[in-house]
Amino acid sequence: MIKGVPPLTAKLLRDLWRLRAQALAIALVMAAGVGMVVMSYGMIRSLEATREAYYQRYALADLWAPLRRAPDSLVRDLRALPGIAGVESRVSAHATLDVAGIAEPVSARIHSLPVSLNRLVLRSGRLPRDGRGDEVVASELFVKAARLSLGDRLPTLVHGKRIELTLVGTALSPEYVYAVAPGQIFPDNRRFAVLWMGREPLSAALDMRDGFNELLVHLAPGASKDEVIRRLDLAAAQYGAAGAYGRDLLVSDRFVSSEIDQLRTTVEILPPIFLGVAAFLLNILLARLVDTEREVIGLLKAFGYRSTAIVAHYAQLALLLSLGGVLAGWGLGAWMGRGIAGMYQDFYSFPFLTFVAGIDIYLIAAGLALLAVLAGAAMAVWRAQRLTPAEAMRPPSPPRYSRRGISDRVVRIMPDEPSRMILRGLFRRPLRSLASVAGLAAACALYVASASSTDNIDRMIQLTFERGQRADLSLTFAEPRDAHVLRELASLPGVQRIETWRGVPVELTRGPHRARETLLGLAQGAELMRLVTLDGTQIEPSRHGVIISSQLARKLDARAGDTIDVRVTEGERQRFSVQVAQVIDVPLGASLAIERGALARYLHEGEVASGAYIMAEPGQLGALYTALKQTPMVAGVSVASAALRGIRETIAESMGIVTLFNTLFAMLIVVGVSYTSARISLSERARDLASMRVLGYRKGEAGFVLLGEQALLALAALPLGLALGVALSRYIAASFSSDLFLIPSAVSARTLGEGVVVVALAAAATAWLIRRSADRLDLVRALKTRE
Amino acid sequence: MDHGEAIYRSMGLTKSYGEGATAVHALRGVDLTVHKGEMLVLLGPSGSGKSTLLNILGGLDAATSGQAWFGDLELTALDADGLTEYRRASIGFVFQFYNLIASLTARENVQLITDIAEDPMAPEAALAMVGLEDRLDHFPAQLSGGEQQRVAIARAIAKRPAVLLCDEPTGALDSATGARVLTALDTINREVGTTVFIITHNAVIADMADEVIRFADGAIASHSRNAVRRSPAELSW
Repeated sequence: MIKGVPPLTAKLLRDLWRLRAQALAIALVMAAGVGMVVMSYGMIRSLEATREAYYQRYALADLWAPLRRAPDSLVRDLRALPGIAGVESRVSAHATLDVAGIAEPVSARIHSLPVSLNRLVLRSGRLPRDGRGDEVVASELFVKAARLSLGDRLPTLVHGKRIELTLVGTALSPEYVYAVAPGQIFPDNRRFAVLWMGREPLSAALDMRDGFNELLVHLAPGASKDEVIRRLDLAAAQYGAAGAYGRDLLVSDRFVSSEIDQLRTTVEILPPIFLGVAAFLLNILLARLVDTEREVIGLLKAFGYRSTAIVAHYAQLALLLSLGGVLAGWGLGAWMGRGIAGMYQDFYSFPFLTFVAGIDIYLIAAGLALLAVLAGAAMAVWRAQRLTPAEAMRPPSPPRYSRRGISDRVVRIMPDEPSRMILRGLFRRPLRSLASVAGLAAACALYVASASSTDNIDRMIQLTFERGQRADLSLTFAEPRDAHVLRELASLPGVQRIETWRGVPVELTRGPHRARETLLGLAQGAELMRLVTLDGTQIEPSRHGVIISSQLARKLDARAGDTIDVRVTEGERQRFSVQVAQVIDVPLGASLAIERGALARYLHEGEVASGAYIMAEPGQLGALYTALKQTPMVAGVSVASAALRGIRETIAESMGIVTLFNTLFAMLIVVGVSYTSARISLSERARDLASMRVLGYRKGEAGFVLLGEQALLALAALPLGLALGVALSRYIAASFSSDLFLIPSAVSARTLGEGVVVVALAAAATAWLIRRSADRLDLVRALKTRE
Repeated sequence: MDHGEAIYRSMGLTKSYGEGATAVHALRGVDLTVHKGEMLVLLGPSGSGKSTLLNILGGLDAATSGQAWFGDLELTALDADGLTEYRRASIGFVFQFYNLIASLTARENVQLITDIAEDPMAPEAALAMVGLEDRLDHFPAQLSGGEQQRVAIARAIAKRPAVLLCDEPTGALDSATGARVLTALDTINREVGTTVFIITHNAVIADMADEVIRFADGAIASHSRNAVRRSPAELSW
């Protein structure tokens, strides 16, 4: 007796100690679920709070209104408009940089230095001084990735002019939390820069003295965004306004929101799996315990202990068993949260990102675990409560088996008795067997779904770059150019093939639905830029209507055959109606396209190009880059191979860690499920195994009954797990897809194979542990105890 | 007096659990010779050492000191694997609580042995010897206690073991059922020539034995021979 402790409490503590191995298995599975809840909800909250605080502290604009060129007087007029709390004008431009050590031209976005809106967080150095036209501050992640130092020179091509800039500081901006080049979805910090410089020198380079080309607006509290946008567009129409847009269309913010949505999806899928498995494990453990302790329960009741005391006893045991899981889960969640916050800081440029989950999230996670515990323990505890003392003191009648039914026909086909023992054991408790299979299948599915994210991205890369955008380089011209441009570009060194493209920003309307997009004019039979759907089909641009992506179709509530009103938001501002020729699923990129000639007719123009796709001669890319850095008409260059490399690096960094964690979690479930169910099976079969050993069966032969059962369960779980994994992968791909990109689902054979190996390895490790316990079975004791 | 070839010999066999002052001495030096084909009954109060001796002779447990031979095989020199092979080849066990496999029918419980034995009987024949030829496909839960014990005996004898070790085989049974079980054991001893050890608390059963060994305090208190073996059917308690 433990001194000073009531006997039931002493029993409780000893039971816990005796069951420590199973308790550990359950606690670990539960910890994974609790940790996942703490991490995900904590991260969602941290990201949202950080974003909110960052935007507020550094005064992120509510509206952006790009225009061609407007006089400073417009700002004064706009201030008088209702709903506007503040207006700031700025000058913005696309540029290409020639950075020492980087072969490709670096695309850049240059803004004039902010005054009160979109303020910068200076990270090192200083802001450009007045009167020093060559000084520039650059985005911190770019400076790090490009290995630049303060004082370095940056030869820059902007608006066809070469200017020489000097790096004097690094900064972050709330406008560029997620900085990607236009049309990209993964950041490539080495090849995309954001620069801020004095307004004077930038205006001079753009021939925009006493004018500006972008407005930033801060809305008054309670103002209607759409109403202000309408007034703004009206007021700025004469200055070539392309149409104002809000934060919801700010690319950086859309990516952060999409990340938060992904965390929400994760927390909806994973923790229920873990907590469900933990509940199941707790259930079989307690059910077995009540079975073996019938006599104890009967005795206690005979002595006058109330049923409530018995219920409390087992409920306490269940709670104590899971307490470790909750505590470990809290720790795990906080630790993973800090780790992921660190990862996010490399990915998203927040000046600060602290993982703060808050006590309520820890309590919610513990509450969910508690629900799982109660669900798992309820049945067993209820049974203990219902036993009458007399009934409990009698040994349970031997388990009943039957030779009737289809299942026993299967059993009788088995050539030997140990195999029959395995099958009859499994068939006698079909629910438990099914739950074990489901648990193992869930683990396999978790691995497959997690590891397939790399497969999906690979497929996306393949569709986008190998099938769709097959050019080495994509150029954007500073101004639309006529057909001559082809000859000019063809003369650059290393050019093997050129195709030009035309793109105009448009506003689309269909009934009450509106959207902004770039309408792309593509040539039929083009080689370097093709429309490829998510399932790999190649689509030719139509002469009779636009091909739109399914996301855009949803936004406009449009189907093939519907008519859409189009308003061009630059240049001549043509208006026309066009039919939807086809709606397609595309991974990313062109979401609105039409045949090149048809677009020219709508725009009443000849052969005009907004940019070009170039395929380079093998080995000549370097020379081509060098030439392009000197070509004034090119405002932006995107390099396919560089984009690819960027994507792969990003994925290797982030997915690698996530997949590693999920692999560990999957193995944890397999070990938890097979260890607990094998332990229970060992306890139930101890006498059978001892009998076999006494009858002369060797250790391996007797162990076969135990391990064969586990192997069968795992074998049954694998096909189910693989199928579930593919389904889960599809579901995750679909729910991670946003209006920015669609993720194809493409689980590779390799991933499926790994899923099998992960489950098999974890099950084998468990088998080894259990086999050791089975081998140490005390034969005499096992046989002389009454069942 | 010679009663035939010795099947078991032991010298100074001891078994103790624990060490020093707290050590429990279950066997305190047992010297014994048992002859082939005999029926032996071991009597004695709980804890007197009879089960311990049986476990050592049956290869379920190892002695602390002393030696024991099964024919020419020195049991006390065997490791765990050696003991498994010894049990597999030569020994049948019957326990108080039957220890049938609940998920196997009577026939299948016997097959469990015939599957791994060198020259087994047909399971049906073994069950017929204990009078259960019409209960072949019943699971343990569908049999009475006496029937379950007879299945256990059929299972033990089906491999034609040299020795049958029975620890309280009638302990859980009423008198009439117990007599049927003992009759089965008697038949096997007489007809197959299997050496049978029966441990019991019930002194009446001693009358059916060739030899009676009484245990007390971990040692043999007396070792006697019955002039006449009574048939189990004549016994009652």
